[in-house]
Amino acid sequence: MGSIRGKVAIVGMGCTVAGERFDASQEDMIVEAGFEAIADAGVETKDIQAAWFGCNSVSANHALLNWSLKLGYKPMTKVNNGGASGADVLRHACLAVASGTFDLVLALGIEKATDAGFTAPGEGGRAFGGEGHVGPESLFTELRVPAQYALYATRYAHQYGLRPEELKEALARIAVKSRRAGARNPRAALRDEITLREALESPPIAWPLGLTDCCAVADGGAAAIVCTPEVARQLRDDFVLVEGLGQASGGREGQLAPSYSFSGLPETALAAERAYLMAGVRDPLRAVGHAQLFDAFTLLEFLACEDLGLAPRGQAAARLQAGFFDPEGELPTNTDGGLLANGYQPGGTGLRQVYESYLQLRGRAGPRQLKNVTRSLVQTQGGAAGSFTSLVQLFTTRD
Amino acid sequence: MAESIKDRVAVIGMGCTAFGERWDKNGEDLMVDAVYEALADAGIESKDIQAAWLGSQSTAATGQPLAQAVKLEYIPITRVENACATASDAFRNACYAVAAGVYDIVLAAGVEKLKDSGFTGLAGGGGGGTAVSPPTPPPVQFALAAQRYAHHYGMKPEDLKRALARIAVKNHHNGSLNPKAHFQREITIEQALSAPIIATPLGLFDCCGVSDGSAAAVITRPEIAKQLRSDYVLVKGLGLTCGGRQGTLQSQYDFVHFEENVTAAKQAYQQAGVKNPLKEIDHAEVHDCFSITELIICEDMGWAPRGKAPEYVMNGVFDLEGELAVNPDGGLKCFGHPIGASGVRMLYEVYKQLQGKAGPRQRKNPTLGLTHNLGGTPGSFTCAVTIVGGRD
Repeated sequence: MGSIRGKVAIVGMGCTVAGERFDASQEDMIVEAGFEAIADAGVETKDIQAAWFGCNSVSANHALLNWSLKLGYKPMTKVNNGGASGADVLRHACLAVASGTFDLVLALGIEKATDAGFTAPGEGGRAFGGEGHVGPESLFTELRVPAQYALYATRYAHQYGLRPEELKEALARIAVKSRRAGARNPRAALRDEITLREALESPPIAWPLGLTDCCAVADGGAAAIVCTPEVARQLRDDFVLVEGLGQASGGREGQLAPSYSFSGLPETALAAERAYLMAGVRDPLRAVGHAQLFDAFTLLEFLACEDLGLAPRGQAAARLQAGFFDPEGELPTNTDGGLLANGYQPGGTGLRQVYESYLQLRGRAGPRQLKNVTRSLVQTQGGAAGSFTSLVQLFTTRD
Repeated sequence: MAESIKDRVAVIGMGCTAFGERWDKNGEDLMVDAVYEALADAGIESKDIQAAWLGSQSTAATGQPLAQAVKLEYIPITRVENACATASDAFRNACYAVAAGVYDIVLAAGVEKLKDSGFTGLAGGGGGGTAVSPPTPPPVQFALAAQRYAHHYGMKPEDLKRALARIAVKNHHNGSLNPKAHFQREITIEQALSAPIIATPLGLFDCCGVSDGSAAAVITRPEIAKQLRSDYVLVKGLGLTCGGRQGTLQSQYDFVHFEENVTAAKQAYQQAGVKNPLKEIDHAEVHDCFSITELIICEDMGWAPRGKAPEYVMNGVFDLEGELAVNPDGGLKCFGHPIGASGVRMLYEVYKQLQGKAGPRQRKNPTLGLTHNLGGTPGSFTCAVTIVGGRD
């Protein structure tokens, strides 16, 4: 197996405002994110040689993308991978450029969930956006998603000897941190800060997860112009390089194994291992300066930090309390507010996460800008308890 | 600058289930059958697969069902969706990942389980709230193309009808020689001509069936392929084009050719270095969702001059023994169209033909084979054209 390192660059990105976008249709949001990325890269639609598209809520194909952007008679592909769709869209654009078959391509993902009747992923256990005729019933299909992650939360506390109030407070701290970041992000869906007390006292959804522990459902999406480093050099000075693309899909091993820990995701750990190998990263804690983690629920940020090697097992809560993951800390996470402030848009989330990395690496994150970030990590996942698809992507500033 | 995919990716194993009303199998069973045949054919085990792609329109929502069925433990798996070209596009993305040098051996599988899902045929309409075209089901859309074809070229309706019937007879003949086909009986031209009308001029035998099925391909680099078998097959060209409703919005849209076919073929021919397709392509599996579609495809691919395809069809140019065999395995006509599986099913026939393993359907010394999928609706199609050839 080989690496993606040095073969692919991102030269432009766009991102919609997230939220209840009753003002915009799916096509409008594609235009919003797509043309921002195209303008940012300084290219035109005719320069795009191929495209990849993520959107779980429309079926069939790429068509919505082409109808909206009028890219002409070019190759376009729709990629679906649950909550990880947007991230996998970018991975495919990168693989195609790395193959040498295309010089400059588009990756775009959006989701319009609020007026589609969608209230939360995994309703009745069926995957969002798919009929899912395949497969015997999963062990967890009758559990709503918050309940699935509540199981991980209680098990995590048990495993590492956290008292219930300690667990609750650690989770609340994550919510407070993400919402504070969201308040500094003009594109976030939720832009109001919350206090620790508000988080602790928010109505329980599935104990120990309360309302502020759960991300909202929001419309939105993002787009990236992906090209070879040679083309990138001609377009701008401050492009971003793709350094590692790790992916792992579970085949229900977790659901079938009595020894499944419920305090980590093997898929994320494996995806990270693959991305680090590609990027030549041996000590992630030292090497990674900024991380965008899939915090659909507060607890997931803990699990991700430990699965990614950014905190020793069982230590994520203590590190968080010590301010390690704050914007001023050693490893700032979810500086755009994460899913907790930007909501969940399966087709778009992965790309929206990368948008913040793209801004941070280029020093363009405004009031959220971190100092001296040279490597950023993005982790995205989809699936259900015991069977996830997880992606870990690494980006750096140009050499 | 971008380079061609030619000779950079090899197919070393393939599998394909019998297509049909597979009440005996669920979607996972079908995937297991197709994938295990492909693995055995390649002489590898599931642990050798480093990444996988799953094509499915409605049977699977993510890549995970493939991992669950075949127990591909924690490798990267992605579901690709691209209307009727879904399976071909899953294969295409797998090829790019191998050509990128990121993975050595990967799997592209397609599956669709339609018969017990309540599915009776593809939905009509242009999709979306802003479609210009009225919501007409596919037989009507392609009937419009047939009507227009006769008018445009000044053909008598009965002459066109006979040419279309000839296509159905040919595909049923080929299907009768294929134990994996859904329909394995020959039909006569009289049967085709007198069949119940679905949408004038298309009758029952002008329309493909609805069926269940799965197919799979194992893909690697030529260097690795050489170590595993001597008769591997090389990818020569991967064309894909998507229309953006240009057709639907244009008053001069002609309905007698589909620009997506022309542009996808051009991409694939250019990559493969094909200059005279009728001479250089030995056989082709094309998207005969309706007989008229096959007729138009033959012209769009450059195998017959505009307006001449009916003549070529009547003269047997596209017969199993003809100059360029079209749908030697029986086509969508005899296999039906499990959407996520069809493109890889087509490749299965081309792969077997190139290896000389197509049994009673075997062509003599084939060098290049082609697969073609057309999805969507007139005015906004997705077209995939894949060219493969034997090793040098």
